Amino acid sequence: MIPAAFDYAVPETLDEAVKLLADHGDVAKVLSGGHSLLPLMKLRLARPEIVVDLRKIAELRGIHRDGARLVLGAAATHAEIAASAEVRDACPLLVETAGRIGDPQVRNAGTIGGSVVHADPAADWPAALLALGATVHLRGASGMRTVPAGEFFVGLLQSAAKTGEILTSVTVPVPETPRAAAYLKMAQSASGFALCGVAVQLAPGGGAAASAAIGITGVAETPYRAADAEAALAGGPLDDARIDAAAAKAVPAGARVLSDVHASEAYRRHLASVFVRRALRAARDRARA
Amino acid sequence: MIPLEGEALFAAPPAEVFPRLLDPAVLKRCIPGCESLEDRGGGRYEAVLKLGVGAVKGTFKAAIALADLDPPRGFSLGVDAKSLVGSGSGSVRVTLAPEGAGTRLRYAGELRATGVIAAVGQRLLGAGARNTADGFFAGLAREVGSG
Repeated sequence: MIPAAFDYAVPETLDEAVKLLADHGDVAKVLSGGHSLLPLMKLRLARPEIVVDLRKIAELRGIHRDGARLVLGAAATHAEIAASAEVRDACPLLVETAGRIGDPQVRNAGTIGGSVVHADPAADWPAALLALGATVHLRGASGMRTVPAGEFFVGLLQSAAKTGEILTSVTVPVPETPRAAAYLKMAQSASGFALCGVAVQLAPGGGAAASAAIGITGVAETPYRAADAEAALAGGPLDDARIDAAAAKAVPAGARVLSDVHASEAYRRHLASVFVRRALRAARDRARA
Repeated sequence: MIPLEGEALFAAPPAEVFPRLLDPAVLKRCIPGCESLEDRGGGRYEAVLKLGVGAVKGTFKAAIALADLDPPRGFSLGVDAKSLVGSGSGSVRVTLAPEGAGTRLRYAGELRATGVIAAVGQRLLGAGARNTADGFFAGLAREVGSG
């Protein structure tokens, strides 16, 4: 559990960091909280020749409200997001999600940017970011670009970020009126990773007209918006029958469902259905409260 | 054990696609991360492949063996790949069928892994193999025209 030798750089600005990555190409890796990269390096599954540590870059820190959106700096830790009054007021689903990640050590060191760009299929953030319609902001040698969360997660540990790009922030639209939402997960008990995590945000009107955004992580190789389940809700009030219909469509046809020592494919499919039902009911109950 | 399967469509007929699948120069150009590929004769090749899935990267030395050649309908492909992060071996049957004026290629088989990569992330190897296959067929489609 000792990593292979590597060089280490600690740039103080985003420009410097981008230049370091451009100079070193795909033998460089970005280090943020280190809770994804360092275990891979210790197992020697990742052997970067140079690690570019982002911890001194002030531009990546902080959480603030910018009009109708919430800006989460890439270096914001899960714990900072969980404790933020600003986030709680604007988008409580983010607070609920952050609070369910891993354990206190992971939440205090791990960052939203690091987790999102690592694109672990069992990470918690993707479910909420998909349900909320978040946007990922990237900076590379050729400038800034943005990618919708729905296009950012492209495969197992694979995101739309290209070699040399740094995730700078995640922005989340803040609805004009508060929306009821919920994030529920079944955690793998040793690591806290999601065997299944379901985030839902109801459309305005709460329980009256059935419409919800549903993001699911931990189940398939790529976290996804459960469009089939969302469609099954349409056409009337958010009653138990519609929720059951949505739960039955939690996993789309053709999804590459994960199967490993922790949970078989059949079990994950079952969890997805159960947690879509529970999350929708929880959000409905909160809307009524 | 990881099941491997997929398909690709090419604009050229099987009689044109088949020989290119066995041409070392084409293979080297089209396999993503292929650093070298040598023809050892008798349907055997040795290759050095740089494969990566996200943050996980490895350089694999691969011994490739072709068998049961049935031109232009199909062949079997065996791969034995070793790296510092673990080893993988796989076998697939590749079949080519005419579709319109082009070719529908399908492959199906399985992959086994040993070593660190098998212990912590066998699914990574499956994703890596699939990326490589998809990248290879995309490259081949550029050479022969896609369907």
